Amino acid sequence: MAQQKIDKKLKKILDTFMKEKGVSGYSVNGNKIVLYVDDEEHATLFRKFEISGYSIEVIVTGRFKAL
Amino acid sequence: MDRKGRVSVLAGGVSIGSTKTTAGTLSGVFQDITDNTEVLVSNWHVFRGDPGKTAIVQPGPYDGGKDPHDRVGILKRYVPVMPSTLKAYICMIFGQLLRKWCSEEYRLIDAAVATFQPSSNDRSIAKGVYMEDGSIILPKGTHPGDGVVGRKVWKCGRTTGYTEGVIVNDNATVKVWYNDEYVVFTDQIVVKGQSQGGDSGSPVFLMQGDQPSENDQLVGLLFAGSDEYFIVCKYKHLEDLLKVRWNP
Repeated sequence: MAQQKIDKKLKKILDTFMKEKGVSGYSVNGNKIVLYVDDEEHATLFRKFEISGYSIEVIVTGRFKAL
Repeated sequence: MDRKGRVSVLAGGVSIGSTKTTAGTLSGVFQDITDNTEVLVSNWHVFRGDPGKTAIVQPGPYDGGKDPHDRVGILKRYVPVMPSTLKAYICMIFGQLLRKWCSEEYRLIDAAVATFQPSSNDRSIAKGVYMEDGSIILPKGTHPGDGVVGRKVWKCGRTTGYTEGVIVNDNATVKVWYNDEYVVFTDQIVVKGQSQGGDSGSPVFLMQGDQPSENDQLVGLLFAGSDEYFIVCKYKHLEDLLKVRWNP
């Protein structure tokens, strides 16, 4: 999928979200947002996260480190 | 094969690094679009140093590579990943006033180029990547990196060698940690697959059949990962920003 143009308002929300501790990343595919988090503790926290008009899936990926 | 050892023929998948780093993986021999020379490519954080000055050694320093005995080239250029020291200093003092200029910039690649200038004449270069049996294969094609979710990939890295994985996302924005600070990368490929420290720089190929072959396509470079996932910067951004080509 080519990089999707993200609505400015949504991008601002996701950019703020990226600054949160325990967050590893995100992707937007149509009306679905996938949130990547460091561990199960943060997954539980972010499963409560809601953005109007989007379904949210939380995946525990672990922290991404330069290898 | 011993990917951490000294090789006489340089190709993708073996230990390499600048004298200022530990060890990563040589992505391979590419063509420099700016001057049509053959160059060595890996991640910026594997080749980190000063362009025109810092030596690149094979194997990487952590695997015993020393300058000048194991020197294979000199850092030529890189695409900046970290903000410059000057910018970091200005933003530390005037961050509130210059909020927009100081806000995080999202990156697309972690990659660098080195010249091939070996210190001894027993070293040569070959296009392609080392397989587990020590043979070199050259997947001839490339893929920009878009529209590849669900595709099977393989990579060869200094630490975990040959591994396979599956692409779970191809437009992710991710936070990558460099020691105690992070950089945000956007338009990245996320692969569910195995990697470890030292695999950075591994070339990643889209698999066309059940086994690696010359019909496979280079889709990008591995540069970060967690226990079960790794991150790949896209080939299209390597061409656009680093100005290199895999197999012209």
